Amino acid sequence: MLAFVLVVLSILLLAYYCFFGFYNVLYGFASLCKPRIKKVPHGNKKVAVVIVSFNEENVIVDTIEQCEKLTYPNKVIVVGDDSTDSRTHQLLLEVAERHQCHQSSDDPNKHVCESTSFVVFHRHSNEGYKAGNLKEIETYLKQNGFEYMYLLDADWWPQKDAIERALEIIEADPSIAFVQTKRRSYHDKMSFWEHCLALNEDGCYYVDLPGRQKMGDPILFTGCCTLFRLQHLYAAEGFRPGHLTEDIDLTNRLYLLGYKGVYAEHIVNEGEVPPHYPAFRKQQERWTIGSAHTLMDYFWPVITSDKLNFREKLVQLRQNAYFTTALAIEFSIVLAFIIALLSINPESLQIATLQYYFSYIALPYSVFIILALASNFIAPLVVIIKERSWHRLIYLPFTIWISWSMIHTYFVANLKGFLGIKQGWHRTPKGNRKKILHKKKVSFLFKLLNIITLLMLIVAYSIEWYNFGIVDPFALFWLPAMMVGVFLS
Amino acid sequence: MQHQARARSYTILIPFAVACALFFVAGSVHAYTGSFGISPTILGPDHQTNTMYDIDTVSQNPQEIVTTGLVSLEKIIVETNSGQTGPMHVKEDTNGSDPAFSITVPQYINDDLVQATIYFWGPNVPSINIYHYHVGEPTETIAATQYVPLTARADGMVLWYFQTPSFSSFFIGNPKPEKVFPWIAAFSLLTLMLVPCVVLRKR
Repeated sequence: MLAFVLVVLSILLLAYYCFFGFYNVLYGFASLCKPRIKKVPHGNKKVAVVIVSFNEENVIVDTIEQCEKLTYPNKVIVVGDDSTDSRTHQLLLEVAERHQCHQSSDDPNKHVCESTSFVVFHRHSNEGYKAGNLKEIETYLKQNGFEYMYLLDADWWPQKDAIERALEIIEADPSIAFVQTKRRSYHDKMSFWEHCLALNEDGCYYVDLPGRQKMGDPILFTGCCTLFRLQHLYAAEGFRPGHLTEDIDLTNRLYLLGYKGVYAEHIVNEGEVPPHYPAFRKQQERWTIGSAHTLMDYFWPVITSDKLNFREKLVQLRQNAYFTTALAIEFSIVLAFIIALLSINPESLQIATLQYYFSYIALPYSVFIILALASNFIAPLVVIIKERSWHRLIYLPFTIWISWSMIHTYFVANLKGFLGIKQGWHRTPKGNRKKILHKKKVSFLFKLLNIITLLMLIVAYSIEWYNFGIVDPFALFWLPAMMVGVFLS
Repeated sequence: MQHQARARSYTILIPFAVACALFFVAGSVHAYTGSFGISPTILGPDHQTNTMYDIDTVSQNPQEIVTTGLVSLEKIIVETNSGQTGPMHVKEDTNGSDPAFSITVPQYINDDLVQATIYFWGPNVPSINIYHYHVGEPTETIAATQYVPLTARADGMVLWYFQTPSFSSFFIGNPKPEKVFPWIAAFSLLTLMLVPCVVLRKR
């Protein structure tokens, strides 16, 4: 009975991995083909270039300068600043002075300076996090008759004609709510760590989103570098203050209303990746908690929606459940450790029975495992192929190890998300372009968890070697990944 | 200058490439069909087949089980004190010149076993020793008897049998080969574990 249960659980877990692996493969191939995107000549509608900032003294002024270089004439740069440090707001006031802004609000909770080309909002607290900041700006844009908003985070530099290129897409179809543009993590002083992380994050913009666009699947608004049609944003009730992943949350609501997004790979923005492991870990933790909230909030609305077809529902569910794969992997590790312990006695009937059941499905099971494993490599490989940057192949294993080393972070974050444990906002430190050194906050809990897992894995692999005479190839992934987790977390 | 710096940073990756190559050469990964962390081991290279038969000494004691479909085993005669029913798993190693197989039954059948007579196909030689392994017990040597009249297969193998009071692993002709610790694979893995820690810490 135990053997049967273990086999069934293993098959269910494999099916779960294959569901996600399928999309990796599908989008990997689809992203190699160019999608056809309808375009029309753009008008001259008023566009707000919105930059959100929270203690971004190292990057905010540079980003504003980059936005000033945007060639679209009818634009206003709007900075929403929630900074609590003394420096950022001061820097923004200096920029405002250069733009001849005047103070225009009597609200004691915020400070607003505006001119015809530049507006600065300063809230005295970060209430509602980034989405709270955006909600404030949203109200301002509505009152001032803006039709479009190009949203940026404080470290992202758009290409000069980004607005024109995005407008010719959004104006071609009234059902388009947003145009997500490409985010490229690149600058010329990148460290080895940044290169690895960039390869990881580029996967979304070189593979996943282009694949979705080619296949006609729902597009994700990824938090910034996006042109919004504000009318649709208001219809979806805009940003939800307090949400940790306001982007996925808003994407769900827009699609549930029947609006859609478009991904424009040819419009490029350049930005930074988290400067070190603890910052990356915190960022991933926030994304995972937010995704768990989104999955709970939109599971039934997506399933029962009459605006989405079956395929779109699957893609939305895949998006919302993306980080739950960590729960399955942790479960797999526990399951496999139980099996390793059972196999300490090779005469165990349970092990013999387990192997007997597996012998029936050995071939398809092995093929699907290899495919599921290989699907992890598809996105970074396609990035390298599309960019023809073959030297980046060297970062590939490190990229995988870094991702896999996060397993406990994802697991704990999923639990926090599903159990509704309150979590604050973690700002990702920026300033890599200037080689600014950021303080690292070591997590002893995750260090300890990774040490325990590393030891457990060494024991399990040793049992496997002793009883089955093999060195497990998965050791190539898990042992270095756990070492990364131990030394860098 | 930048290219030189990049080239310098790549030199640290040489051990990484060497370790990867050595791991694949030394790790016998080709024989593996399972995976840890994603799925359990399916079948290790020690055994290639796993077949299940039903023991039922309630209906017939001793019971003759013809092990159809196996390479080295022909039949097993099971005799128990009282009538017993349960599964019997036979794992067979079909690689190499020396056959090996293990027979796994529930503990209550093993405890109740009077004896089992195992018929197998072996080389046509004057004598064959069977090495019987039990976990935590010394290896027992059993002398096999050639079946009379001499019965041969097309491949020249002839029928032998031996009797045992318990089931577990049996190695025919030669003792179970000693496991050699995979030093190269272990060192390769260790290198792989250290390289990312060094490389990723650099700023």
